[in-house]
Amino acid sequence: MNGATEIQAILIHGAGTSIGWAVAREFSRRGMVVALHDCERPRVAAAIARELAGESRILDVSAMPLERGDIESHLAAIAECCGRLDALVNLYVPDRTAGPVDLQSYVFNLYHRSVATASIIALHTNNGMIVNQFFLASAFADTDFADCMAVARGAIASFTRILSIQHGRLGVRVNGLLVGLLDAPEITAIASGRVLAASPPLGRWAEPVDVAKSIAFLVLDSGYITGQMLIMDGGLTGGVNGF
Amino acid sequence: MAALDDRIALVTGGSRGLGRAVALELARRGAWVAINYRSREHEARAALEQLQAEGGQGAVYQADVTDLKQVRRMFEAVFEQRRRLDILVNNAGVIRDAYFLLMSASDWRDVLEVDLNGVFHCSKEAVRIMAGRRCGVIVNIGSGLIAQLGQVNHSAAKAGMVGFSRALAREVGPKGIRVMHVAPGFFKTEMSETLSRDSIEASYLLTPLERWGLPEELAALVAFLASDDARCFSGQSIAIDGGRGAVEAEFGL
Repeated sequence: MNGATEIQAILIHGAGTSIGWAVAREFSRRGMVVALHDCERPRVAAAIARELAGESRILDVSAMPLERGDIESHLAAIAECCGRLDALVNLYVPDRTAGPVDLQSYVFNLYHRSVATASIIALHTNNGMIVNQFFLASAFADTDFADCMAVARGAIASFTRILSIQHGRLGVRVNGLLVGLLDAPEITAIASGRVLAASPPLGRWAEPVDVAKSIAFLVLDSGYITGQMLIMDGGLTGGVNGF
Repeated sequence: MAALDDRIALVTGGSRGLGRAVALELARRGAWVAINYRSREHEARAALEQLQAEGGQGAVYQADVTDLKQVRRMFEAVFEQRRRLDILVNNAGVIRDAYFLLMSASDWRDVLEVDLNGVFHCSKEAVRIMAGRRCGVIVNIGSGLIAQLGQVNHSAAKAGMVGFSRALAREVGPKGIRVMHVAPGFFKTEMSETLSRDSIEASYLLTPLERWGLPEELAALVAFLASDDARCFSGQSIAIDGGRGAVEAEFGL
């Protein structure tokens, strides 16, 4: 569209979770080059890479630091390994052992990583994409990091909007996906009884595959959408989040 | 791409513009598509011919969405022919722009009649059919441009559509029916051709992607929402506007 180039290579950050697994599988199935990164759960990232090794080109790049320091040169190295880089997917799943400080630094790291990636992506394509996946903080309302989740969610929504304004001209779109209740062990282990008891109007929780399908849509088929936070919660909140 | 094989869809105002693009895309993904039109039979038939030339299937149905009897007749005819309905896209709309003091009562009423009452009529008939099989999707095409000068009628109707979508989503969710709202910014259609060159260029300044959307881009969003890939989306509004809404939210206009 408008001479837009096809998305071919994608970097998944925070890939070592059941969401990461589903997202990697979805893009791999479509024959894309998929780079996996997870410095906290490198073993899972490596296992995903092993599982999908036959399907398309999968690289485990967890060894390259993307948290602080010279992010741009590491990203450039990843892009070189992949042949190019068209998209970044930032996945987040709360780690029960992570303290508030970690959650706050996650947000800043996400911002810096996104800015650095946008400039790398712009070298390869006029149709780049950054997707920031996070959760509706309500799912963690009764945890001791509820405050940080709320702050992080707001920050990510705000970053997404600003980044989309900054990078639209470069041909890089930035969108977010806020997931409500998710049926994945990482989440159900944390969510409280009353959160688990909530029933969305559609009567079902999202599964990792639903997150993957939505991210695939955003990356591959969402042409004119940028600066948006999509809310996937089975109709629970009815658009009252104001993003 | 999300598949819509064997789905039965109805697109109101499907003879041209965004509605036509949506009808064609749903058909490309495997849906059987009913193209609704009010008065442009020739264009509706041309849309159907294009759809069939691409290998798709469908039919055209005349009905004025403001008339409940005609709407009912149309849905009955579709049901009679296909025995089900999976997807309704409420797209029909009219524009009667005028500055507020110059806006006649009929300019106001015409827009509300089509953009809001039409959605009520069609959704009601659709839910009646969809509830029987406990599945279905309604996608309401509203507008991301609800504060334009000379459009209090359009703005009121489209804002009304947001509330309608949210409330209906809650009510029909337990029946297995999803309701989504889509808010397009500026798109290249016959309707937008009427705008002046200056206002088109001014709009680029407020749009991070620095271009207008293409009808097929909106169609891809509607097709995704209508598919099982989006089975956890309901009651939400998604703007597709090249980032214009982001600029509006951060800087105002």
